[in-house]
Amino acid sequence: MEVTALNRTSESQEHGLYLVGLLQCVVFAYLIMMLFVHTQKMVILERDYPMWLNAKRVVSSASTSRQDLIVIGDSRAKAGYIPNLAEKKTLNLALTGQSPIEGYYLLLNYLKGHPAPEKLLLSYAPYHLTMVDVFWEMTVKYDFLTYDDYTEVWEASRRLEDKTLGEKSLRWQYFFLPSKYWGSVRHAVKERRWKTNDETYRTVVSSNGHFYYGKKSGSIDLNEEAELKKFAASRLLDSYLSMLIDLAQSNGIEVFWYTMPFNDESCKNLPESFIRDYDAYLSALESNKGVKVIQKISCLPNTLFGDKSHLYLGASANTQAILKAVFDVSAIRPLS
Amino acid sequence: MLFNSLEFLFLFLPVTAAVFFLIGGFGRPRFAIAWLVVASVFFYGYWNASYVPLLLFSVVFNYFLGEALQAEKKKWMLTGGILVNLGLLGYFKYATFIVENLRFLPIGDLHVILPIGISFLTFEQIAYLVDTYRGQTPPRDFVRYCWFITLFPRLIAGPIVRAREILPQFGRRSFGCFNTTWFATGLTIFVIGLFKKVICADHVGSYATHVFRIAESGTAITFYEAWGGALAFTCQIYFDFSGYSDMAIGIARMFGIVLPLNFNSPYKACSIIEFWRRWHMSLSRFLRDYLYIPLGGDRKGTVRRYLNLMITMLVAGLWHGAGWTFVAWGALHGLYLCINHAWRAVRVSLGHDLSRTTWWGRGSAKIVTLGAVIVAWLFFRAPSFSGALNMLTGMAGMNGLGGTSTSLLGYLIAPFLLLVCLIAPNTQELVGPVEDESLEQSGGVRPPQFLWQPNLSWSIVIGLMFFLAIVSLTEENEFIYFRF
Repeated sequence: MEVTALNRTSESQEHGLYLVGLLQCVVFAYLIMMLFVHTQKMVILERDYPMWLNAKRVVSSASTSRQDLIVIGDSRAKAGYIPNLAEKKTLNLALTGQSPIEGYYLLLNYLKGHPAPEKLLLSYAPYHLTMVDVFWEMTVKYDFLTYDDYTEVWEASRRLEDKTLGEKSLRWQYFFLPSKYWGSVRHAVKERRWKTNDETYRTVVSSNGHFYYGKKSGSIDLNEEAELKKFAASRLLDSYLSMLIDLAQSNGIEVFWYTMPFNDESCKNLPESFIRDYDAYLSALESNKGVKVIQKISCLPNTLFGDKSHLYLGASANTQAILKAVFDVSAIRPLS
Repeated sequence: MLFNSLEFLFLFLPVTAAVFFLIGGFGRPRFAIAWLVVASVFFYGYWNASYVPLLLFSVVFNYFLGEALQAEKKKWMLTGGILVNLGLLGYFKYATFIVENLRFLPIGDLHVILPIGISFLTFEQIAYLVDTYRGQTPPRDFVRYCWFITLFPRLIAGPIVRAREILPQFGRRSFGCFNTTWFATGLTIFVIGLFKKVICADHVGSYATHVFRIAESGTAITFYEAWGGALAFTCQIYFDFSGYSDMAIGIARMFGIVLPLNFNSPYKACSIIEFWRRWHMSLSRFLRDYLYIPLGGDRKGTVRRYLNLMITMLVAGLWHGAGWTFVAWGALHGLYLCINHAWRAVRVSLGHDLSRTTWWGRGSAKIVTLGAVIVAWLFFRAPSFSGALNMLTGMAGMNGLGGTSTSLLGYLIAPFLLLVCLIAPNTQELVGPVEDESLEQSGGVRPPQFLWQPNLSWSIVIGLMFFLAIVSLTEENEFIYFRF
């Protein structure tokens, strides 16, 4: 009886130690991974991260030199405007998936350390006024906003009863959950991201923020708008766009709006009602906010696009059109 | 709530276990099981609270009918009880299917949402009533009965248990007390199951989904694609369901409860008869004891035996899903079983000794068995007959050999996992047997080898498996058998 009892105690101790070892192993692996993913983002995250990092570094730096034009917008603007082609001092701060939320904080932070630019070109694809596609996946994951900025955004979304950001906050998940980074870690190894991200960073630094997303000699794929049935701006994004414009104008910056061209194939599939509603939205911006809209929805040949929505071969001509329009508004004719 | 969800892993399970052992530690096992009942009902209602009343009705109805049957063994009461249970299952699971097949009649559309786990629940309740009628149910009261039926580890997708396997465990002296050995082995089994589901099944499943979707669209599937998709699903369903069963068995073991085994390396089977002794063992056992044998089994001649086999497997097919493809899957397995029994009869009549085998005989039998199982899975997985036949055409090489719609890795994962199924020990072989000899284990399975040991190396291996599974929880993929 005693031997059996002793055996049981020893067995129980063994299993107890095993459980403690297992728990320690999980906790240790968790801590190592979280430490790694929060400190080595350039090594593991996708190619958009270096662009966001570059924009964040630019706006948080300090300088006394004044820019003639700053471009704020999404990836279509990042690919469609080439600062180095301009004789003026211009900077492209557009980012993949950027919405007016990030645009507002970009300008806000930029103005803290730099003189206000002369002109600001806003360029968001219509669908980036209707939905936020990367707020959690990029803005939050890339630590683009401070905790206070994030809280402000979240409270605004609740106040406006806007569901664009979803029902519940995912911020804590990007802070604590390793699963949010596991896919990135796996792809980082496969794609050797530490190398490609470094190259991307150097590219955007040397190009003053320009980046080509696709480099095909044409695309007949449909862009995001061609999949949408109607245009309905989100209350949250509309509110932030309004704040962005007000911020610029209160600093004496002239604000322009330029919708990057669509490929012909997408134009063919765009519902009439979508174009009408979007035009009406821009007209309201023009009349209510004094924004100079220099291009609404326009179409260019498929061959000028590097992928379904980003310009490649057409980027230079598009840049020239923007420069001509921004610096000589009266001489503008719609591209379409 | 899914076992592979964060709220289950880090909230529900720890809180339920902590409170259970706290109550049990104070020598109140009855309160401990009452707590498990409350937790289990919450677990069920988390998915859709509107079906909790259905669960409670089923429990109350069957308990009191069982009491009545215990007092007075009347066949009409048993028949009525079975019909009520089947009626509920029939309405929730098959009403939409029946209406869809009676389109020629002037009846409107019907869309009934299937309450999760109702197929498993119905079979357990029927088994309970039949066992009570036969006088094979141990003493119980209402709380214990609720505990037996609603026990959350197996409430949604089995294993299908019998009252006499679960209820006596409550009488164990240590019931409700924390036992380090049981908790450690239970956690280990659970982690292995979670790893199977999240790392193996979900990864290979995305490839299977891709190929079957192409097949469903009518696009010609090439030889490699078709075999890749078929093997991928063969692995997905095994790792998914056996992973779920491991998790259920592991969680129950953490609580000091033993559930019957559900899988015993089914793809190692040398015949279809053996396959059904190794695959979803608790269902096979139910169908044998409560359908095949009551139909007459093999006691009424060869023709009746084959007929009974066909009926049993058709019911098995229909139980899995309300669709003709599931019926076809059941019919195929019924046919396989008939052929298997006929083959054995022929060999016996020729004077062969069935117990004497050769390595090449066993090898070829395994290949034939696995091939037959894979073909049947096509009908189980494909949403329509045209999709399944498109896959079959591709597997026969009638659309050419080449053509890739995925990376080379996609092609290699499924064969690799299948190899693991064929040569690696299964969970119970790895972790070891239940140490309580008084508990019945289905199929009399006794693991032949015990590789796992509670030592540092294994704590690192299992800890890393747990960590890998957790970090891979990018989205909650539900278990295939949750749909049934």
